[in-house]
Amino acid sequence: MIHWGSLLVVQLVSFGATVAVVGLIALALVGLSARAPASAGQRETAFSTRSGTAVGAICLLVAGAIVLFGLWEIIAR
Amino acid sequence: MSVLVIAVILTALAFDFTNGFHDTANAMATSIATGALRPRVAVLLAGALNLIGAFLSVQVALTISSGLVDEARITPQVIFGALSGAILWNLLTWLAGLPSSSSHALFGGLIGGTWVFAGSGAIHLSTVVDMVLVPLALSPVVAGLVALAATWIAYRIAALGDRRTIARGFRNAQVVSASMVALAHGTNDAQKTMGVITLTLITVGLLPARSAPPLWVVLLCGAAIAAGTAMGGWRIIRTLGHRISTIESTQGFVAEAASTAVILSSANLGFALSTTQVTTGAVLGSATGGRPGSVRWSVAATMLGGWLLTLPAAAVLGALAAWTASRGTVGTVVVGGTLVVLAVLIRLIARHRPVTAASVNDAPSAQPTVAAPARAAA
Repeated sequence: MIHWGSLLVVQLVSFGATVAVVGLIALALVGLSARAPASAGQRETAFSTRSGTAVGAICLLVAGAIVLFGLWEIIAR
Repeated sequence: MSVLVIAVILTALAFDFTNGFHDTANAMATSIATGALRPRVAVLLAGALNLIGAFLSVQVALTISSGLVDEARITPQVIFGALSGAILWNLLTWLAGLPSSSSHALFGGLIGGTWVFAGSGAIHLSTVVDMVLVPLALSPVVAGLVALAATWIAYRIAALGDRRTIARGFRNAQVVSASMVALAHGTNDAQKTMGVITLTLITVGLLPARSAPPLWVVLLCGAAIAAGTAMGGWRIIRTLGHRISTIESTQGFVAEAASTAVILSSANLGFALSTTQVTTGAVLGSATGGRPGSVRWSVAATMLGGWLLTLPAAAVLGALAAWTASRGTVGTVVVGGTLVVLAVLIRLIARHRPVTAASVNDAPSAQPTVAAPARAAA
């Protein structure tokens, strides 16, 4: 019997983890962009230097936590 | 432990080695292509992480040693033949630069060998379908769709930031994501050889049925796949990194993140999927999500053909080798000798058209791309 439930879990976990980590890293880089000097033809970012750094750091921490949680789930088994 | 069992274990480790260099591309092709990692550094890092990954889980090994075939009805000669067929197929596809599935080759060899020796009744078809074939068919599609969606999201968010920062950030992030794929590869693929060696030990009564792999098996398999990975399968790295599409650092990161998520979540549930197919699916998905026009669908179609051919071809080779090996000592020696001669021949042919760490990035790109953040800092 095909384990459709387990396959669904794989799909949902894969989708959720990937989108969350990729989205958080992208958002972190947007936040950290506020620290970069504005270049010609480049629109300004939505964050101030301080808030951008904070957003970047928080997003990177959360993304790291998701990855570590995933590894922990595997090792703990 | 008999000479035959030792020969089977050594052959299994040889398969594990070929699995390593055949699949180095899975983890490192896009990172090498985007310049996130130097080729030599990339393969050495992948080798080390494959070794660590081998110790993370044994769920897949249990699936192989306890589920695919009736261990009471096969002999070490059959497993030897199956492994020989799988090694030969791996070497042929490596020569062609085709990222085919080492897992398919192994399962095909095992199924073919068991079939000719003990009949179809000795194959647990329901387990083969449920735990191997269905995940193998679905996993590249899932990885591709996940990567497609994540790439779309990544580009939308990244468009709000500074191009240079985004490009540099994703390139640095690729070092981590590629490392995660290497770790996942060690977790998933090293277990397949662990499963085969455990199966051999069960068939000769050295381990009770449904045993988990002993620590020395885990250690040897981890070391073999790590050594193979560190050799670098440059031909397949070039195919995956350059011939499918021009991959940018954002796409490379997303492809690697999606591959890691699919491989690790599947390995955790005991699904023995193909890491090659997952990573190729993810690369195709991220390439399509970034710039659909840059994807070389003819290359993708060739790969799909190779995927479809791998299982039956390895089954035929495995069946032939297992039938010969099961004739007795002479048959086993003939199979071993033939394998060594063919391996040397393939190596000699490969030397006429070498692809090395220095030339792996020389291949022409699919099409020039403009869009993405990575381009600004390139």
